[in-house]
Amino acid sequence: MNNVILKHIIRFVVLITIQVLVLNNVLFMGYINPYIYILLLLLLPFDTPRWLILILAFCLGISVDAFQNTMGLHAFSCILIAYCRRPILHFLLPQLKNKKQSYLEFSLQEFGFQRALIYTGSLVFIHHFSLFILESFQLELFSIVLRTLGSSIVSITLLIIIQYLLFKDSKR
Amino acid sequence: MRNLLQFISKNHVLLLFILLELCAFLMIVQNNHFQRAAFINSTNGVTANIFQTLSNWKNYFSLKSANEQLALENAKLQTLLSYKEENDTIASILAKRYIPAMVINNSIAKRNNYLTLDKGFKHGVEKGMGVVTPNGVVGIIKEVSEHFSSVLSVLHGKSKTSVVLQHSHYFGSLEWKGENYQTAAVNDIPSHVELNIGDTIISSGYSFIYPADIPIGTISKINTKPHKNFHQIDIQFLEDFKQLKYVYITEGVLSNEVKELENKNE
Repeated sequence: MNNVILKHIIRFVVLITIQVLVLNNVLFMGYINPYIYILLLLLLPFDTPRWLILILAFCLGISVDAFQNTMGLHAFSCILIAYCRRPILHFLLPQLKNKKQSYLEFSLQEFGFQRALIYTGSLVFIHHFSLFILESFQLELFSIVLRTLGSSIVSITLLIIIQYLLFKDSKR
Repeated sequence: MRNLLQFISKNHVLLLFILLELCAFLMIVQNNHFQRAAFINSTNGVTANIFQTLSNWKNYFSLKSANEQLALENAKLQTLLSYKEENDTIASILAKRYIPAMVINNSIAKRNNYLTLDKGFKHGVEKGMGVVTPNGVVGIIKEVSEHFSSVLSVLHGKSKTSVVLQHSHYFGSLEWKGENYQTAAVNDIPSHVELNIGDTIISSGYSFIYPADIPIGTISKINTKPHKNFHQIDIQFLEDFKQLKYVYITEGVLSNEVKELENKNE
């Protein structure tokens, strides 16, 4: 149990550091800005209480916001995907509904590449779309969609690679 | 209460979600200049229209009080004006005070017409005062109660108003024949006086009821028979009595003194 908490605290710190120090300074082609810190939310154990996920998402978002001077922006998107996480998981993995008490977390190796892609892709898309809508705060649909698609593709690619590497390491 | 707690415990995730999202959204609007500006601007766009419409309606409803204020102001100005002319003649100060009043009941179609005004002895109205507008005389105060007064209209069989010709100052008396509320007859002007259609008739001020020099009407018809001593003239009222709304009640400040003097003569 303690082990799990410690692991996630470390993940929290590492992900935010990478996000803030490296990826926020990256702006491919002027509009693509990948966000990978949401990996923390993707990889929380399946039976984490939902209220805890929501609060964690809020803290995570606010931490990223604090570095970017965009108070509340990332928090909003993070809470949104934290809320959407369970329905999507239940849709992809129906067997989870019956299972209780498992510290199991989502793993690419265990559940297959296709499911991992759908799971990661849908949450990243929701996150980025809401984020860019709030950021522009106007109905510039074309530029929002463009930025969402561009950034989502990069983010998803990065996240899949990270997940692949992560579990390869942990299994070792 | 139990139901409420049950509801909260059942939907705690959804409620927490909504609460946190609201917090985040408020923070976005509060702390980010761009979003705040955009949010406030868009709200302004909506609210400004609403406020505009609302204030239009409000203005409409306050028209009444605005009108009353203007009438009051007019009365003050009239009073000031008459003070200014004080030096000329004593007659010009005979009618001094103006009390603005609103017509709350009016008739023009009967043979003998009366009006009701919304000012009574509480406001200083007394029996026998004159009622005028800038475009003519309206009548004489006949009865006064605390808040209201009734006016014997110029459009009344017993009403006789002393008038003069504006250009020559021959005086006559104005009577209403009871047919058309827009016309009246003027008698007692000597037949040697030259008249033209369109000449203006003004109030004389002789009776001390009305102030002098208020325009009343213009000559519309001269049907004087030959070898008669007096003209028979029809005039057209300048004031539209059908649309009368705001009037002034006038008080001749020295009218009592004049009346006493005149009584001694008889």
